[in-house]
Amino acid sequence: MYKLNESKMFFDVADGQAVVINFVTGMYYGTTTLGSVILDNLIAGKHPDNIVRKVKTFQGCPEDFEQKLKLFIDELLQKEILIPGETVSDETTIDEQSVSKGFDLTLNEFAEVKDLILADPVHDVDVEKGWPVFDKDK
Amino acid sequence: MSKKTDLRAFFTVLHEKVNQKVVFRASFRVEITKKIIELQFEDEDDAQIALYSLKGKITYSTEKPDAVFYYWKEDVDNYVGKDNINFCWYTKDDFGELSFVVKTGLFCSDKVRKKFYYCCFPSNVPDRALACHAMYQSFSQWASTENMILFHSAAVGLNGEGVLINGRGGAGKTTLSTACLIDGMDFISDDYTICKTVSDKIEAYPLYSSISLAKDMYCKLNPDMPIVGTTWKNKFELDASKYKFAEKLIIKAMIVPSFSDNDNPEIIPIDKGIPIVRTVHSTLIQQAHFHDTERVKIMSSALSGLKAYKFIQCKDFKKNVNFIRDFISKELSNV
Repeated sequence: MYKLNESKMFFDVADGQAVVINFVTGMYYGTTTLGSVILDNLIAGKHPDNIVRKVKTFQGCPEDFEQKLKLFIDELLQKEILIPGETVSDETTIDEQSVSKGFDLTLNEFAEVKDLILADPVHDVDVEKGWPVFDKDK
Repeated sequence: MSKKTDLRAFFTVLHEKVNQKVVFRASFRVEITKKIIELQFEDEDDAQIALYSLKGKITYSTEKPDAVFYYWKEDVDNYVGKDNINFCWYTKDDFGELSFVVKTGLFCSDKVRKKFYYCCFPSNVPDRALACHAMYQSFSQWASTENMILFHSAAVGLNGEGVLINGRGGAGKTTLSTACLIDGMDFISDDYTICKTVSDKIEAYPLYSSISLAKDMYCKLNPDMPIVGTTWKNKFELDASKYKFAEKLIIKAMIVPSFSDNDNPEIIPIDKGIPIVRTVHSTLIQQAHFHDTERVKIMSSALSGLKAYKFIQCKDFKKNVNFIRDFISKELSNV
């Protein structure tokens, strides 16, 4: 069904965390625990239907999970992380550990986004006001 | 539209304030890839701590230094304002770059003047800036101004050719590289390696003469290295300056180590994306270069020409070292 877009992307999963690097643009991506294992399975060619079927067996799975997965895949395609590829019929590698932190499938640009850049404290300053005044209007 | 400021203005103010307020009581110089760097410290004890990890690089050259590092402790909001110390941020332009890490400090790279500042919060204990591999954030910023990269990677070799040993913290880089050093192989680093791309080849150079080794591994390897401290990760800081470090290695491949209970080691080719992602990701995080797409591209590009292998270590350190030695001398000689 899908594969990694190797013409632009490097991918790795370590300690349950997936990281994708676009070596052309320098952007890198991370995702949730479930998102990481699903991405790993998608890159391996597992069919999304098999993924949905497996995840729905776990308690707490939201009813709209199939829709969430579709949106996740759409974003992976839109960012050119995934491209069309062969489908493999092997079972998925998703287990209870995969959903231990919930069913969220957010794709984050830059892996460590827990500390967001809210502003640029240097360049957002009007030069006439000088430094280190932070322009609160921004 | 009003004109916005830039880092040139910031560095001018920073330099003036530092000159007025901070007395740098201790300094020493190091020579790295033929460049002279002067390190200045407000606190003499801090200078002494940094000296341990850079002992093998000390120079008494009186030439004008190519770069100067400044390290002092002060509330960072004196330089960036109280509004800007509750979240991590990073910014750069043609004049340099700034990284701010909450509860740690402010890293400044003035590319034009070749001055590198690290203002650390006084309450930042333990002092990560000085723990074993001292000032690695500053060295990383300096390296990028010299078209070099400070990778979070170990490096060992034989007869001038070698491998980068990649992996996140706890992967076994230091244990394997230290075992290689003790056994007489060419050694560049256990954790941070300066790399330069020259005509499609990667040259690796040593920076530190210290090693940061897990306590249980120290007991097993029993290196002839005095313990000079304990890192914030509860590892031993070791003075490895008695051992001869390699001056340079040409890097032929990346290896990703792992541990096993096997009787014999094993090495298998893997997709190069795996060690590239691990190295780039861990380097960025360690050095607080958040969201620097340029750096990601440069690092990925530098490593993309290398072959990659997974090295599954066995319980016997000697077997692991002999295996790596054979691998470098036989398998990589034709690469």
